[in-house]
Amino acid sequence: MMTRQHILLIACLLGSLQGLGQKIWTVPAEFAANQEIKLFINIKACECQRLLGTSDSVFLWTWQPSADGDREPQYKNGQWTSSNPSMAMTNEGNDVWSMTMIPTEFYNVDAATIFANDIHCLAKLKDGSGAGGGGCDEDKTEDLMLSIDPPVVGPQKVFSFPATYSKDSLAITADDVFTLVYDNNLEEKESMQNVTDLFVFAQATTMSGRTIRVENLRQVDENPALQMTYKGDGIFHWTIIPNQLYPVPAGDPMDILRLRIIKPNLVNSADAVDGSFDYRFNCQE
Amino acid sequence: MSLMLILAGCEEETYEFGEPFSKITGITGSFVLTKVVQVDERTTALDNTFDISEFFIGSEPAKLSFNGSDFSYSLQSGTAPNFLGDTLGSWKFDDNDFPTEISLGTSNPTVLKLNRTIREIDQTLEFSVTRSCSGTAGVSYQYVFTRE
Repeated sequence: MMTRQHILLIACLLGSLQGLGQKIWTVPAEFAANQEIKLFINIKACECQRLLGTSDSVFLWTWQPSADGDREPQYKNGQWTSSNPSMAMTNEGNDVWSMTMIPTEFYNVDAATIFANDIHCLAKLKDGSGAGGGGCDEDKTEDLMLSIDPPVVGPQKVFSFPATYSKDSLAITADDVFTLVYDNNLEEKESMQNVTDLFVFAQATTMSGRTIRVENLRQVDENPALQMTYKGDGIFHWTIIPNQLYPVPAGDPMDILRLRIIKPNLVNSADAVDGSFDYRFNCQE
Repeated sequence: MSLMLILAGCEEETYEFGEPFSKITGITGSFVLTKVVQVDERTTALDNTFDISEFFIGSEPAKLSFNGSDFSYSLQSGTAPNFLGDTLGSWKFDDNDFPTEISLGTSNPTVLKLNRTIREIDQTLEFSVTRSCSGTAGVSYQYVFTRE
């Protein structure tokens, strides 16, 4: 009869076997391309075994998503017979080697390029020549590929472009172009479904805490600058340059933009999208 | 004789190429703004671009003129926000034969990264301007100006 302990033991064994079979992986397994990760290579799982049990340093050699020439000096491979010292991997024991990196910084490319090209690399000794002739006769692993997929993000009802990179923070100044996007197809509030005309009630808060409004709530629909543009298929855009719309005093820059999406002739909360949407201008010129 | 024929048959054909197109001549003239795409340099989303042409160009499109003789330029912002710096000044390529960048102004130049080459036959002048946030790229604007 199979007990709970037996099932746990089998699960652990299966987990260990899966670990043994994995040549390359990261921690965390899923990540944003601009997030710090640790990339691991398990020599025991590779087909080329010349690095097995080595007491020498092991180096990362990589060519995609960007070539050596496109990377900063500390992230260049160096020569095949003499790897760049900064590409030395960390010995994690048991023939597992690691390299900590922020992919976008390491490869000097944007996130989309990383997702489109994945990471292609191998591990090698400082001089990878070995017995020569290429293949597993050289002091290296075979070519390895780490598939990287973009984080899965569900459709959003309200979002901005550029996107917030951390909570409500934008990597733009209030002199840049900012767009609020609203997808009415995702609206659950019955009174706001199938709308055709929308406005944005916005208030800006400066660094010193001063609040600035362009219009009062009841007069928002009298100002064309606050009207969202209908783009078809239930999508609305509102594009502004915050500092042009809001008369922020000199020396007291804009900190937060708080936005609410409302119908014209607003009567009560039934005429507004639930919630307010905050955007913080974290970088100043 | 047969050896001579064989050798003659193997003679390499030579081609002469003309002078490369001058990029200075190519950029000389006036261009009007026809498209602007904003690029989010920090996002992890696959699609990091957003067409802001309608908002950016407005009712009076920006115009940019380059003089290839005295290397002066003039910018009329029109209704577009001005991310290109001084409206009058001097310009230069980083490399006159194979330019990748244009600098506008001298004391604190605005660097325009060319997105394609600009020869006399090219009808568009395409470049990007990147704006930094805390020392790294935050957002870029890809401009397309069309030759007038």
